[in-house]
Amino acid sequence: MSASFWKLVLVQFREFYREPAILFWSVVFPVAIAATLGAAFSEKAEIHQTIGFVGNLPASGRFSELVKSGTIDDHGQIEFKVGSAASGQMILHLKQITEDSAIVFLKRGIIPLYLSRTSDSTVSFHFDKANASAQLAYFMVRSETGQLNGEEKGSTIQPLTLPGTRYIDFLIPGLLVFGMMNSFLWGIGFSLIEFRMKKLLRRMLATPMKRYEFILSLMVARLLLAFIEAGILLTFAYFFFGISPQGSWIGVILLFLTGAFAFTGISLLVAARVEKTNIGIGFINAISMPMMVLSGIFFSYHNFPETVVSIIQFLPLTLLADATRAIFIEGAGFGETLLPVGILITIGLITFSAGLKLFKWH
Amino acid sequence: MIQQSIIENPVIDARHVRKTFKDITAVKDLSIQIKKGEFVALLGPNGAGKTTLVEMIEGIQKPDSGDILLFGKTWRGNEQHLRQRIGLSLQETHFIDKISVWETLDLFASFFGIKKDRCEEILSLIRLEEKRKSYTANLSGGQRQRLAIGVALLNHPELLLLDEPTTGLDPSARRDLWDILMKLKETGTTLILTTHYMEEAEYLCDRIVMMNKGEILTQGTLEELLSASGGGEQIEIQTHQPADLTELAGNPVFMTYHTLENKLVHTFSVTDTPAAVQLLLSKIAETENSIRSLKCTRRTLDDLFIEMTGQHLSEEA
Repeated sequence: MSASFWKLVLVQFREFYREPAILFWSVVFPVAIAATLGAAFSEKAEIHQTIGFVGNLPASGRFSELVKSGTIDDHGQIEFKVGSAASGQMILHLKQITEDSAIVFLKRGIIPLYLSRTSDSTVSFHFDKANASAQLAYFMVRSETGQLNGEEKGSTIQPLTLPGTRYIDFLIPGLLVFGMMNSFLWGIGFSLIEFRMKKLLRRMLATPMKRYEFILSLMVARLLLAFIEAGILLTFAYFFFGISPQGSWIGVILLFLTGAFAFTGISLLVAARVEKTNIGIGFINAISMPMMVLSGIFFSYHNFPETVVSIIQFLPLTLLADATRAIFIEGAGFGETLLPVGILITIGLITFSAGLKLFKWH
Repeated sequence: MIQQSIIENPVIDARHVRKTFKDITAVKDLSIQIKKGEFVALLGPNGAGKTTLVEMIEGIQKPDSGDILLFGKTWRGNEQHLRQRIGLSLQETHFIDKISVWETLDLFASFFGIKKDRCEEILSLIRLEEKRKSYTANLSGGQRQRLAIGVALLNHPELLLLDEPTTGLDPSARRDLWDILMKLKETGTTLILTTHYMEEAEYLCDRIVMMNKGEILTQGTLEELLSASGGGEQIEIQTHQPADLTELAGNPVFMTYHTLENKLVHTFSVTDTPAAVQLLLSKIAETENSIRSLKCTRRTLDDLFIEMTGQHLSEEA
């Protein structure tokens, strides 16, 4: 390789480390995320999982013995260990509930499966075989009960494939709002930063253009695009998986609009001062990535430690995802959306006004 | 400095304008008046304060102190009104990449409430009819700059402010742009442009304002500027041995005299070139020295600038 090649390589390195912001987003930020999440989730080596039980526990049999080996946890539920040190252990918490609430908990992703009593000594497992964490919990329990006395007789699997309990039912409402969030953060936040960087913002302000019309145009354009994107996803979900909102359609639209407002505010705040797009990418990722992971879009957030869950529940994406999912799979009505709608409007008002106040037009 | 007489009803009236950024004073107590229909060039090296001055006139930046009046009005409270009457182009203009030339003109026209006919007129004025459907990202530097001028002209501005409209363009693209601007002279438009190309200032403008370090060094027409500081011609000679020619500078034919430290290169501005050459030749002949080269040139603004600041116009301030 020629000397100029290495000089070129060096130029790239210099460009990288001479920009403190890039250094922060690409080095410090991922380490900070890893450290935070690592500290939050690594205190216990075992995986915790809550499962449901409908009706009375069997009095005898392997499952009964397994339960009897357990202790009582902080919530008064029976907790017991399954698996071995070699294969990894799982601590199961047994939630004793009615069949109706078991279905709701399944839909919300709080439990992956539930059991019910079939005789004095046998149980049956109810779960969606396409749900990996349900499968895992099932095999962990079976490995434990199988070990005690060969193949267990009388134990059955009741497959659940009713709409609302499948993984896809869980996923679609989440994807719907996740897409909307990204559409706004990138479509408004990133665009504004790009307009500023190219001095187009400055050029347009040197005309009689109205500032509010400019902001509004971004918001309206994005809203229309987000509706089209959501429409395509919903049409697909309806024809391929038979998914549609079981509850209030008006609630879905209201959530979508208030979510759009909240994310416009957040985007405006993100873009208020940033002058370079490469720094903007970092900021936007810093907002969207944690919510993508934490807000229960792809998997339930209920397995996170409780302290974390209490924060997660108030993230704008979580509010939207939970409320939309409740309408889609639990048939929640208009009234139930009012609380999240109220919080989203508040988040929107705060971020929108802070964003406008801080916004650097020139 | 050549004093400008007081202008009645100036289009631009800036008085004691000052602007500081952190530790740099970009514009120092500067005053300038520009009358209707005048084409004025702000000429100076990078960092002279040209852009800051122009952006303060454009209402994009606020002066720390001093007043700027456009058509007798301040920016405060008259923003919408003034925006309708001026046109401008910024130092670098990028448009939205995947938006066509026509769509860009149409968008900006809408900000002024202007009809589509004007966009057609502009398109033919800037000679981009064939590029009307091209994305702005696919335009050449010259085409993009013509589009920027087109956008600036949409609202028939009475005052046009162009910040380095031809920087980075090749000579033919620069010439194309000059042609467009020359057409505006007939319409009575007032023009201010910043540039560090002296040919541009010479070709387009009635008045040249030389700036350096936030101040006006001198101003006037090209002839005024050159004659005030010694004729329009200069002689540069190089000698084989160091020579002392200061004695000659006393002769009225020689207006100014500069020599490099090594005393090998000597520059005179002269009123009568043939007489000056004869004097020089005989002076050198008296000694054992001889001439390596002799060059007679027309003096330029760059020569003037070097005389006043010791720097070239193209250098950083």
